[in-house]
Amino acid sequence: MIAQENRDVVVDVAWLTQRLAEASVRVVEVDVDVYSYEEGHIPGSIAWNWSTQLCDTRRRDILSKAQFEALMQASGITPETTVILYGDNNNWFAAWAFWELKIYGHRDVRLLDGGRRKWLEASGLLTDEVPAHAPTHYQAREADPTLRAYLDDVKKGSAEGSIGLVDVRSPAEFTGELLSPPGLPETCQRGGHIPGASSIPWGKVCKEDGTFRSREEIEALYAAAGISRDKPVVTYCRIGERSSHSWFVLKHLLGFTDVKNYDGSWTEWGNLVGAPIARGASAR
Amino acid sequence: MTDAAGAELRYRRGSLDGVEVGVTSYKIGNRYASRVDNVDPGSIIGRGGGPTREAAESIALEKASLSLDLVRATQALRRSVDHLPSNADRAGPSSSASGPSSRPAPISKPSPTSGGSSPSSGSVSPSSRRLR
Repeated sequence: MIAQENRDVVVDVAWLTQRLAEASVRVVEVDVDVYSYEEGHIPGSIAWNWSTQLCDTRRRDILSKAQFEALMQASGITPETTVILYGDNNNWFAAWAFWELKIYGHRDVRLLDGGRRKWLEASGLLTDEVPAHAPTHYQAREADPTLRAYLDDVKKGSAEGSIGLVDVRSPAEFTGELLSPPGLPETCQRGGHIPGASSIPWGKVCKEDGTFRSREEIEALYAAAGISRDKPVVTYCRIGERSSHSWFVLKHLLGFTDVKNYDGSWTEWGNLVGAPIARGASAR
Repeated sequence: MTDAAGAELRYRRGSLDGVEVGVTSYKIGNRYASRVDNVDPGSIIGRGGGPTREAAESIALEKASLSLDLVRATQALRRSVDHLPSNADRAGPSSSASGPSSRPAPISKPSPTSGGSSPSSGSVSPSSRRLR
């Protein structure tokens, strides 16, 4: 059940089912598995490929403002469109897209609670038809610097202990036992975590069916790890996508005012010459 | 249009080659699709499709096993290279006086047991691939 205060950022299957035909709503699938959309998707939805359409593949960066505007225009999205994002694996990459839309100031963007899996369970209605939307004109805002942390921010915050640093990777990646999750290539030279970070794996905020746990449960999870509103919070993972999910939770479900996603993440920090790292379990 | 009211979604977890994986399968039209993920964080490491759930899952598990083997082999190779002795280690204390004409010392081969599994280990036919 979605709390009333979160309905502006999270919708459920029933809500979406009633609005699939509305022109003011654009449903976008963003999956870890970029082939899922081709097999079947929510009627009327389009897809964004996270590895080619949501990043600048030459600069290792998010889209530039111009690239973002081009994507919105090609997707038939205007600044007034309600964008509903959904995807596989607890909306992992859908949350990455959400973060990027917020960086460029899109007003109304929401996640489908439970993502693709919940849709399959609750509705099962799929199509292989790819809709065509007329191109629009879209002018994005300048990138919002309050949502994104860079290396220097994290260096300073870690050294001074002035930020709540949340490592959302698996415990084995946090301790340094693993350099990458099973089956994925290693993208860094060293294992461990950024000094001062707390380990709060991203998936803990979700239930088995992929929907979000209650606000009280999520509050307790972060409080137990010492993450509070007293100081700015920075989330990170391996390449910045899992941490965008945790960023969404802290910023939009719990209402933390100062939360940034460090998308350089461990791939940047773990390869950095001279950067201090910590190994083993968190102090907590 | 391949609407499928009630996609017969099934998700289960188990161990594949010592790694915890999740297996998702569901029906699309008259075919089944399957995905194998690595649970945490849930990246897809194998996918498959077929006329039955069993066929789709078998293909996805076979591909997942191959993915795990390939990554393990790559990691083992990288660590073997990392542990190769450096020029200074190999040449010993007198090497600095030997001059530019000295021949490079032979590079010792990494031990086959120096870590990880070989690329061929765990390779089985789809029909024998079973989730534990």
